[in-house]
Amino acid sequence: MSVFHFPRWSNIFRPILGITSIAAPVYLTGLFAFGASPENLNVGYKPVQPVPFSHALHAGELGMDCRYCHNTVQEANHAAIPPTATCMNCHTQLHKESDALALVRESAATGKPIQWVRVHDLPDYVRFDHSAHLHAGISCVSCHGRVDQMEVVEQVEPLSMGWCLDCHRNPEPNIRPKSEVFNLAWQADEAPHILGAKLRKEYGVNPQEDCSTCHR
Amino acid sequence: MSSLNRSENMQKHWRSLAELEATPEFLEKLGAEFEAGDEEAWTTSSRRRFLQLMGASVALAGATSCTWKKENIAPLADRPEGWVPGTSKTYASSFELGGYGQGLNITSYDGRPVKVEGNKLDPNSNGATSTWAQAAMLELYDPDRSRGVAQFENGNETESDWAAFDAWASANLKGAGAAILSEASASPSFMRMKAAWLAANPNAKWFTYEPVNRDNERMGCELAFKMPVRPDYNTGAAKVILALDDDLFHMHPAALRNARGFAKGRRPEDGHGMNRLWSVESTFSPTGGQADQRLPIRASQIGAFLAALEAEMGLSQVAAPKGGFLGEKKSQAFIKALAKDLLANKGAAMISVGPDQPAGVHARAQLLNVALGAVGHTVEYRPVELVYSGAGEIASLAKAVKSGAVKSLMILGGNPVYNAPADADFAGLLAELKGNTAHLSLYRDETSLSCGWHVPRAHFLEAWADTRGWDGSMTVAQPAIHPLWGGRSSIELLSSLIGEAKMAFTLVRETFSESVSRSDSAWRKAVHDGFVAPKAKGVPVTAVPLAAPQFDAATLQGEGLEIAFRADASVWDGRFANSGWLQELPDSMTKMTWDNALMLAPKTAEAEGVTTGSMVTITTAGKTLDAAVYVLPGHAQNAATLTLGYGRTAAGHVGGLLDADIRDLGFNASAIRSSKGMSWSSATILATGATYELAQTQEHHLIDQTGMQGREQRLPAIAREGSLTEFNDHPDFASHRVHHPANVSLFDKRLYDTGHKWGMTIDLATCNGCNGCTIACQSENNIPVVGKEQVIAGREMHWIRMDRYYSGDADDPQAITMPVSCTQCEMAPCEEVCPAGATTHSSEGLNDMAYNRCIGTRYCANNCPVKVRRFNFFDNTEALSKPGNETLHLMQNPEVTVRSRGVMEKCTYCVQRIHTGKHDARNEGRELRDGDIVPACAQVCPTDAIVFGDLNDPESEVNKMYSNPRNYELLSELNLQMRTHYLARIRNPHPDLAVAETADHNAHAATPEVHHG
Repeated sequence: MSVFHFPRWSNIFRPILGITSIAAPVYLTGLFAFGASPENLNVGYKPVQPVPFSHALHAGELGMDCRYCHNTVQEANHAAIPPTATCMNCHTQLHKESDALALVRESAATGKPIQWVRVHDLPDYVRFDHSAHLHAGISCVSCHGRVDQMEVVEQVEPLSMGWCLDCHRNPEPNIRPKSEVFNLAWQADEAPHILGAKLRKEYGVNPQEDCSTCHR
Repeated sequence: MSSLNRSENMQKHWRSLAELEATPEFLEKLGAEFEAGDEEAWTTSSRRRFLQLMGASVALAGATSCTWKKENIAPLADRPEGWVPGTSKTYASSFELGGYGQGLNITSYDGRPVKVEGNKLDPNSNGATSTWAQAAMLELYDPDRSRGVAQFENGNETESDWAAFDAWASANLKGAGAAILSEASASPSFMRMKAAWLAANPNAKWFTYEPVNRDNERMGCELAFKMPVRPDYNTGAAKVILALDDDLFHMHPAALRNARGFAKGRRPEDGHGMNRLWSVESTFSPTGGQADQRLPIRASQIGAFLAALEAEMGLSQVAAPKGGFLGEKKSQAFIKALAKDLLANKGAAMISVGPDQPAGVHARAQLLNVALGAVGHTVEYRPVELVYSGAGEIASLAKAVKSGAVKSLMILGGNPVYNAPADADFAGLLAELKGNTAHLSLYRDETSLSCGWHVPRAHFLEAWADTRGWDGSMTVAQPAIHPLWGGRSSIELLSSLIGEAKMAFTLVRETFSESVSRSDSAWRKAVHDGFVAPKAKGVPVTAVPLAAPQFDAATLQGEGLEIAFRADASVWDGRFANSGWLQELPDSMTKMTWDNALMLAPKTAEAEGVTTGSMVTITTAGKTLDAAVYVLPGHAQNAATLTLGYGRTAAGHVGGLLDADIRDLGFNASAIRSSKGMSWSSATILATGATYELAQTQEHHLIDQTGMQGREQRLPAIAREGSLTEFNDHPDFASHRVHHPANVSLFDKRLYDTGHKWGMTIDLATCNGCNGCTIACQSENNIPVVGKEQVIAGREMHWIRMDRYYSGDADDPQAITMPVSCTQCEMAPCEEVCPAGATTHSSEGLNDMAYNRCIGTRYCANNCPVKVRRFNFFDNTEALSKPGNETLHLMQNPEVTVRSRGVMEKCTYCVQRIHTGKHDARNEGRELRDGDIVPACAQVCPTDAIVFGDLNDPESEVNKMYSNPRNYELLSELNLQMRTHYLARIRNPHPDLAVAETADHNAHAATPEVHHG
C-alpha cells in the first residue's frame, strides 16, 4: 500500500531534465572544444619577464636586426636567447645605472644566467627547427607576430598541431623572399599566395606532413 | 601443397636445444607470444591500490593547469664563440680496456656527452667501437659512482676529502715500504708518471695486475724470438686464418680491425676470392660462429693439436702426438685439410692464438707464422713494454707484504679483492696492512671497502689522458665534461703523490712534447684527430728453434672435466658489472642476459645428468662454487667454460650490492680461479638438485604451434646461407630459396619515385654478431633497461634483436647471426591495425611512430611479422625521476623522445639523424650526399655489414647492395615490400671437408608464375 509516488509538483523537473540531458553534452563539448583549445588557452600568453626588455624599443624603434641577439636562428633549431654578454655590448655604455638593468649587470658580474620565462612553448615531444623554416622563406612574423611592436612579448598564434599543419599543407601565403624574412613589416607587392607559389618553386620548399617530421 | 616452394637442400635451423629437442617446457611456452605471468608478482600495486591511484590522478588532473608548465630559459651569461645551443659537437677521445687503447669520437650536446662513436682516423676503430666503449656513457652518468673521498675503519665508512687523503699519502706513501698496485695501461703519460714515482721513491715497489691479460702471448714471442714483441695481424691480407682458442673478432684488443679485415674476404662478388677461417676452440665463440671449419676440443688440447698440425705440414722436425682426440677420424681429416690449406697459401696464411693458451703454444704458433711466410704480409711484430700483469704479480706483492717490505699500498684502479686469484686471499693481505691502503676507483667496490681509503677516480670522459692501440699508435683522450664528482685520473694522482699535483692536461701535454713532437701544431692536430700513427711498421724478428713439446696421454684423451675461465663479453672482468646496458645485452652465442653460467656441451651435460638451469657445485683445487649450467651446442666435450665478472657484491644497484640487499648476479668465477689455473684447471661438478632461472632471449616471440610450424618451414628461408660453390654456380641462389605465386595487393601501391626513399641492407656474410648495433641503438635512442624478470617475461626493449640460429649436429653445429629490427615495410601490417593512427607511413617510406599518439593497444606488435615492436609494459624510465639519479637525465639523447609506460616503440632508421642530415644539407644549400646520414647501427658496425641510404639515388651504396646477387627480402611471399633487405651468408668450407651438395633449382619450374624474393 505504501508505494511511494513522486508528488505532482515534481513534474516540473521533467522538462528541465530533458533540456539538461540535451544541453549538458552540447555545453561540455563546447567547453572542451573551445575553452581548452590552444587558440583560447595559449594565445595572448604574456608572462612578466625578470628584466623588462622591450622588443618594441630595440627591434622596432632602434631597428636592431632579430639576429643581433638571436644569432643562431639561421643555423640551428633553437633561436637561442642571447647571453647576458650580448646585452652588455651596449649597456656597459648606455643606461649604466638603470634600475631595470640591475639583474643584467648582476648576471654579467656573477656569470649566473638570467631566468627568462619561456613564452612560445611547444610540447617536449615536438621538434621544431627555426633554421629550416627561415631557409624556406618563412618569416619570424608568421609565428611570432609583430614582435617589433611588443612592449612585452606575447604569444599571438596557437602553435597547435592543426595550426602547424595548416601552413605545411598550404605554405604559399607565408613564403616571402629570403631577404625579407627578418623584415617584420614587409608587405608583398602582389598577392602573397601568387608570390609564394613562385618562391616555393625557386626555393624548393616541400613541407612534409609525416609524423616523424616533428615527432621522433 | 603449400604455395611456398622451398628448395630441398636447405639446412634445418634451430634456435635452442629446447627447440631442437622439443622439450615439454618449450612446448608449454608455445602459444604465449608474450609470456604469461602473474601481473601481481611484478607490480607492487594491487588492483585496489591501482584504483586509488587512478582516483587521485584524476583529481590532480583537474587541479593542474591546461597549458604547459611554466618553463624558464637560462642562457649562458657569456656564451663561448661558436657554441650553438641545442646542437651537437664531436670531440676525439680514446678508451682503454685491459691496457690497450681505441680511438673514439664523443658527441656532446650543450656540454654534456651523450653518445660514443668510433674514430674514423684510427685504424683500430675505423669508425666502429666495441660494446664496452658504447656503454661508457652509462658508466659516466651512473648514479652509483663514488661521489667523494671516504675513509673506512672496521667496516665503517666516513666521508672525507682530498686534503685529508693528500696529507695521509704524503706521510705514508713514501720511500721504502710504499707500494703501488696498478692495472695494466699502455698510456705513455702513465708510464712516465710511474717512472717519476719510482724515481722519487727508489726503494718503493710497483706491481701490475690485470685479471684478463696477454702475458702468455708476450712470453711466447719472447721464447720464439728472444725479444719483447707482440703479433699484430693483418686479417685483410689473409686467405687462410687459423684461430686457436681465440675470439679474434671480439675479445682481441684489435678486434674491430681484425673483424674488418676478415670481412674484406667474405664478399665473393667482389672478385677478390674468399678467405677461409678455421677455428679450433673449446667454447663456442662468435669467431667460431664465423668459421668455415670449426673443431671443438678442450683448451688444454690446443698445444697437441698444433703439434699434430706442424707434423702434418712437415715444416719442422716435430713428432706428431698420437692417440686420444687426434686418433679420431674427424680431427685427422681436419688437420690434413688444414695443413694443405695453410701450405697452399704461404704468405697469405696466419695463425692466431688466444691469450689463455700457455706461452709455449704461442711460441710455436708464431714460429709457424714465420715458416709460413706470414711476416710482413699477414703478421707484423710490434715492440712492447716489459710489464707483466699476471697472477705472479699478486704473489710477489703478497710475499713483500708478508716479509714487511711493503707497509702501505695504493691501488690504482682494478678490483683485486674481487678478481685476484682465489688462493691469494687478497682481502686478508690488505687487512695485514692495517688501513694503510688506498684505492682509486670509479665505484666504492669490494676493494675500496677493504682499504683504509677510497678516492674517486675521474672517468675517462672526464680527464685528459693518452694511450696506445694494439698497433702502437698513440691516441689522445680529450675529456668531454668536467669531473662530475671531483675525481682524479691515475696520472693526476701519481703527480700529486710526487708532490707536483699537476693537471692531467699538463701531464699529457708534457708527455707529447717529450715523446712525439714539441710543435704546438702537431699537438693541436693530435688532439683534433685523437690519433698519432705509429712510427715504424713492424720490427724484424729472428726465429729461435724450440724443443719439441711433449703431451701426456691424459691430455690427449681429455679425461675428467676441465673448466676454462674467460673474460665475459658483457662485463669483461667484472668492471662493467653495474652497467644495465651491458648486463641486458644478450650474449652473442648463449643469448643469456644478466647472468653467466657454466657452459657445457650437450653430451657432457647429459653424462652429468644436468641441463640448462640445473645448479651444480664446481670443485677445483679445493675451492667450490655453486653455479647454474647452460648447455651450449658446439662446446668441446668434457670441458666447461665459466666467464669472469659476475657475483659482484659491491658493484652497485644494478650489478649487486649486498649492503643494500641487492643480490649479486651470476656466479663468481674468481672464487675458483686460482693462480695455478688462471686459464683453465681440472674440476668436478655435482648436481645439487636445485634449479636456477636464466634470462635468455632466444626463445622469445614464439607465436603458437601453427606459427611455430610456419616458422620452422621458413627458417632456412629467413637466414639464408650457401656455400661458395653454390654461389659460384648460382650467384642469385638466395633469391631462389623461396618461390611463390605473384603477389597481388588489395591496396593501391604507393609510389616513392620522387624525393628520398630510404633503404637498408644487412650483410649476413660479414655480420659476426658482435652486438655493437644493439647497444649503439640503445644509446642513440634512449632505450630503457628492464631487468632480468622482465627479460624472462619477454619484455626486453632492444630495437635490434640479434638472432642466432644453429644448424646441423648439436655437438658441432654451425651458427649464423642475423640482426633484425623494423624492416620498414611499404605495406606495413602494423599500420593497418592501429586504431589511433600512431604508426603511419611517411612520404619517404618510413614506418613512423608518433609516441605521443600511441594508446598502447599492442595490435601493431601482434600484427608485426618480424616481431620487432617493443612495448613499455612499465614506466621503464622511472629511474630517471628518482632522487639521486639526476645524472641519468644528462645521458638522454635530446633528439629522441623518452617514452613512458603504455607506449609502443621500435626502430625508426634513426629518423632524427635523417632529419638532421637533411637540415644540414639544406642549410648549407647543397644536395644530400650518400653517406651524410648514417644510423647508429651502421655507424658502429666494424665490418660495414649494415648499409643505409637513398634508394632513389642510383649511385648510393645501398642501391649497389640491392643489386648484389646475394640480396633477398625476408618473407617476400607476404608482399610486405620491406625496405631492409638481407644479403645471404656464404660459407667457404674446405673442399676436402665439404659435404656433397645437390643442385638447387628443383622447385624452379614448379609454378609457371614465380616471383623471386
